[in-house]
Amino acid sequence: MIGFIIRRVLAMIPVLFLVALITFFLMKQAKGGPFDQEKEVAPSTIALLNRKFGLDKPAWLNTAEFNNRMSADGPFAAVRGLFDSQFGNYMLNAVQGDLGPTYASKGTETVQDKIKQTFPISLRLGLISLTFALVVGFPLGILGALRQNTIFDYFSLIISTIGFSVPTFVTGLVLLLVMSKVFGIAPIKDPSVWEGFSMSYFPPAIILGLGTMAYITRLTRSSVLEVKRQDYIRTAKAKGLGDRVVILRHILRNSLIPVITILGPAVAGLVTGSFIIESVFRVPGIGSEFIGAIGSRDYSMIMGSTLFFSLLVALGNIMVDLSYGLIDPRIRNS
Amino acid sequence: MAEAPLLEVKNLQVQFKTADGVVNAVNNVSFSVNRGETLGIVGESGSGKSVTSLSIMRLIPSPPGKIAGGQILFDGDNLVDFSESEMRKIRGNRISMIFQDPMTSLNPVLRIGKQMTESLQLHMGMTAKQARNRAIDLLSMVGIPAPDKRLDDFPHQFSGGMRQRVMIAMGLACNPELLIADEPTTALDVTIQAQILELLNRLKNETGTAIIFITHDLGVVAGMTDRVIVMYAGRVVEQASTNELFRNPRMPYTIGLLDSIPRLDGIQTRLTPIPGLPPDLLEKTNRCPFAPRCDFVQEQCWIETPSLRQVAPDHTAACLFDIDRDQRQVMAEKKIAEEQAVLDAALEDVLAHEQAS
Repeated sequence: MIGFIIRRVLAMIPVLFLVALITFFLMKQAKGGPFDQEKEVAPSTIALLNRKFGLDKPAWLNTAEFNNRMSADGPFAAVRGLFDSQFGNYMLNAVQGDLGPTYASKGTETVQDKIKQTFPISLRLGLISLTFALVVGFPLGILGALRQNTIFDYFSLIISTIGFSVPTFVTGLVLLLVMSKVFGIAPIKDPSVWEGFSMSYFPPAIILGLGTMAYITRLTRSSVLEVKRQDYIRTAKAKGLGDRVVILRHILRNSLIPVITILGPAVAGLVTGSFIIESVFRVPGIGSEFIGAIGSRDYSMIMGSTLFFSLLVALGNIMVDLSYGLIDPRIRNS
Repeated sequence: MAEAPLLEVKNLQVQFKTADGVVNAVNNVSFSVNRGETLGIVGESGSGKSVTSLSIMRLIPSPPGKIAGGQILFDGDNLVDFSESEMRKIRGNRISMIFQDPMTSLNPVLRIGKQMTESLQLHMGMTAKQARNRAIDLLSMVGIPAPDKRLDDFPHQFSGGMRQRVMIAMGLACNPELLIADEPTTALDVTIQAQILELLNRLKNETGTAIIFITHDLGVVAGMTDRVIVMYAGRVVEQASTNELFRNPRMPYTIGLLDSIPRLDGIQTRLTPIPGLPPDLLEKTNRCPFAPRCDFVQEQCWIETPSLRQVAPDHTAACLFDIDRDQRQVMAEKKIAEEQAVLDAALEDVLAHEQAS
């Protein structure tokens, strides 16, 4: 068990490195830079800023520095010199937990500060929407399967189809409109409501959770239908067990397995927040921060949040693999 | 007068509604099982033997299936009229069932102990502790070593044969009066099959439980059962004591089944398979359902469905004619001779044609 966890955590390292590599590459392909403004900025100022943030160095490998130091300080220092590049320095700092300064703040705020400040909001939002997705989706799916092809099943189908097919920016805007026109309670302008739990989280959380809820509903339904047909359910019935016991003891646990599978990515997806929903509802979470960072070419913020998201997804998947063992003894022992 | 039978199935009709129409899976099936008796039900896939047994437990998936007629008298009560809750008191308690595939018939996420004790607690009102002790006794009865430890294992930690032993132990948990074993050895390899059959034979004698043994393997029937019914296309086509059936089969289908299993008594004969496929139960016909595959087929077979009739003491068969096994060889040879004659004639024709040109 411990060995399994250690192996999985170690396997995350190359994954995260690859993510960093690809993100950095893509970022550099995009035109523009962090200090572009609408009005012309003096080239000397830009050069100064670039120098301050190390953007004057080559992107990948610093061969000039390598040659310099090779002749002066020997091969060991030369290798360090080779990685005295934007990517090299970023990665060196990142492994030490320093994700660099945000360019937007002109270097007064670090990326990890920004994450610490915005992530709890997204986390709360995500947890509420996950709870919503599970509490509504799971029972709805079970109901649909147990009362297959009845009005309950169709009701569950309609709800999940809406959740699936209507994009969140539509449902979000509709909800926002209803809230502001009918109840006069939106949009929420006071940023302090996002500190700690408050009712304000519910509208965006429900919209955010709709898709996951729909998915869980459909998945649960098909899973329960599948388990219902299994031989061991017939065995359970042949023992004279009542419907309630057959469902609760024999069907539900077996039908949880596929639902758990999607939970890992779903948790990561919900917790890192929907970029769109956070913008629509003006939630100052990490998602809206990320969108902002892309627009302003805030390189370190883009890198930092991408790595952070990747870490969450990877951790989510490890959690899922561990929870399989709790539910399915066949996996526990192997 | 003899004691009333434990189970009496009278004119049972089971139908399944499908997109193509109503399938008559079981047609007018009647038979009875006495206390302590072992009855074999033999037939190929789709002959209605499993549907019959599931009907007795009232476990036919409904919809699409339904018991369309007939009676299932168990100890005098008609199970067809029982409510679902009355049925639950019977299932697993007075009638229990063992299924074909032990690999899939146990819940993979529950410990064996839990699966064994749940019916004990339900039907016998045992506490968890009492049920556990009874489960330990049952497991050692079916020959599972270290039963107190094995109770805490999951199904995947048992081999196929061991799982079937667990299934049998579960089936016998509440001392049922009737045990229905639906092809309990089909999914097992041959040496394990023999062990399981031996176990069932021993337990049958120890507990005195009546058994309905469903199989497509006549070899298994020979060693296990007192009486046999043969099913074909949802009907009973022959019924006799096991000895009588093997010595004196009177329905062409039974004869075909017997001729398609190898004999171990030294007499070397060619194995003759039954040609063709079982009939489509959707069609409604007046002919004998076996006619298209029958070696003995006569004109009358195509216009009349035979019903069961007495052919010997305590022996019924659904065939219009008095036939026996020895005739088959004769009939088969006659058939071959006829085919040969047709071929010869054709060949002569060709030769004559060639000579003429």
